[in-house]
Amino acid sequence: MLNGILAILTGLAGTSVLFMCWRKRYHLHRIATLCGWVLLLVSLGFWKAYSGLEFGIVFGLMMPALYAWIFTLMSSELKPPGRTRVQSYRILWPTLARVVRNGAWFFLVIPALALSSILITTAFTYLLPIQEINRLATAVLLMPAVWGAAVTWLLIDNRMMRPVLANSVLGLCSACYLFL
Amino acid sequence: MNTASFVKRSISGHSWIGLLCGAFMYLICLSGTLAVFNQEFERWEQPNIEEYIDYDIQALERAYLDFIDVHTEETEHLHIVFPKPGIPRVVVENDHVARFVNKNGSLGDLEKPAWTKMLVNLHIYLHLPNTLGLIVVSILGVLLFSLILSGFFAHPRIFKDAFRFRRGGNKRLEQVDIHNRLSVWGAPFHIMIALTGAYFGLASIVLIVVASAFYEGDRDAVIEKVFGKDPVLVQELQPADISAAMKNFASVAPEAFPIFLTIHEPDTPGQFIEIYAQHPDRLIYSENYRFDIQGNYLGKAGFSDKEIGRQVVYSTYRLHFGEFGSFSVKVLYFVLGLSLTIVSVSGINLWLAKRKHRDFINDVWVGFVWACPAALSLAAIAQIVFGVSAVAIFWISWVVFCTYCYWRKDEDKSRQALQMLSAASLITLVVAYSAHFYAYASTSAALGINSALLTLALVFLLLGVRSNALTPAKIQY
Repeated sequence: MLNGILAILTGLAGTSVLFMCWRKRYHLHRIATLCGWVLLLVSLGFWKAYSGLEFGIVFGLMMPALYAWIFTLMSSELKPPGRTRVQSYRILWPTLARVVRNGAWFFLVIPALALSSILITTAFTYLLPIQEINRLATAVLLMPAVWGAAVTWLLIDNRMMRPVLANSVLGLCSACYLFL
Repeated sequence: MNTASFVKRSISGHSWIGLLCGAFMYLICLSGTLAVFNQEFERWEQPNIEEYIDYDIQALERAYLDFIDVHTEETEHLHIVFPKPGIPRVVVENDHVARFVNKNGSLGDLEKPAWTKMLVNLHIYLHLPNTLGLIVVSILGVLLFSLILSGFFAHPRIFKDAFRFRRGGNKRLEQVDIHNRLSVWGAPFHIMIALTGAYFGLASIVLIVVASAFYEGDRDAVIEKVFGKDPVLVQELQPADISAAMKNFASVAPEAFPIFLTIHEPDTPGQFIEIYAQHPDRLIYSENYRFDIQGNYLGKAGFSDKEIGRQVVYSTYRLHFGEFGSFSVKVLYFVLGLSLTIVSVSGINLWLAKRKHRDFINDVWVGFVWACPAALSLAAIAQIVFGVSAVAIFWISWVVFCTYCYWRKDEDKSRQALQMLSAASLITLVVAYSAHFYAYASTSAALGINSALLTLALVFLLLGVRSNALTPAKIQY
């Protein structure tokens, strides 16, 4: 029980240090900020002592959100009502070109990147020098992250061909490794 | 690299994915947030069931024997679900029917938590056909992960604005701050939910690829690799000796807490007993202890101490649904889940506010968001009090409310009307529920949820009154 209370207290202390550093620049700003993060790490240690390694990591990672939202609410700035921007009511139907463009994006994001990500992740994990069951577990847990990252890359790269080519080539190589 | 242009592209990419999945994300997040309390809802839905934590195994065995006498349908599994602190009830079930067990071992009512099932199925399948729904929801998990990544790239002032919240003034800035503060600090939870959620549907697709590449298409071989092989037995046909299995289990794993017992392939020579038990401070769903039909110990599956990959995969369920630790973990998951729900809504709100014009999307979106609580409570009234399908009532009422918002063409008035309707329907639900169950409405199973529903009704009432106080002239984008 004591470890649980200490975990909450150190977590709150760590977040309050980060909050104070955010609000005002102090003389030893960087060291203070580092202390805030260290306190959050110490809190994770107390969580581990309180509820074991697995639960401890979960609590240690999730609880800071609650502390931070408390500080955010406490320091919220109440602004006076401003001017209203009137939005006119009109229906703008999307053009055919826009529909086709978004359809192409959808095709790339969902089926195309899904396929390449599955192939890349499976091939990559089966190249790892680990037990087969661990390869399988890594593949099923890593695949959504690889796919998600590929989607982000595709959508934010200023040269769309880069992620498209990289995923196509890597996907093809992976397919060759897996099926040939 | 030009930072401004990178941020601009990140915002644009973030918006594109958000628009693609924001509405579905809202449905999944809201239903998931509520489904954290699925055990409490199940108890609330049938408050007249006898509850107890300590059970007599002889009584359970009698219930099992009575059950197989009465329910002779062909089945691949027979389960005995043991009481847990979250749901102190005993259930005996096969693949077709589930019956509660009274403390004296007699069979009780049928288990039929239809509304809770509707809520959970909305979260897991979006009420689509199961396989399709699971895959669609899992893809949304991937897109959520992508949204989190692009959101971070689109947020260059992440540290500068770490605790900033501008309330009350410009509505768009208020929405920006709500969206960013909730999503940045909640990111560890949101990432975990996205990746574990994606796992449930996409694991089967990875499995197909692995089976095709390395096992000549034999999927069962891959499944056996992860979950272990079933014991191969040839025994005389007889009912399972549950008492012997439980006695042997207690000596094999005294520290483990049994959650349920399954008889696989009952009434066949290969039938065997499997006891699923949770270990303290572990996230794995269970360790599975196997026994032959006479209750002799055969071995365990190894989820608790064999390969790390197996342990991690078997931990995803409890991690995703918050089914571990005490009740406070459910409250934590509820708060963090609610934050993700608000992030989904505020994201779309921001996109709407940025546009130079408004159209039917503005009107329907208000209905889409604010009709959900009312539709859920109307579905509960229909199902629990009148026995009418919760799924049908949920979707019909939702479509009706969205249509009303489209017809009214006034977001503020529509929002206020739906908030008031939510409050009214929640109060009606509690009143109708109390009248329907009468004496049982004061049991612990009913009181907790009814109090929460009345509190929620009060919140909606206050929101509705506040919306009314804010005249349209004060609301801005």
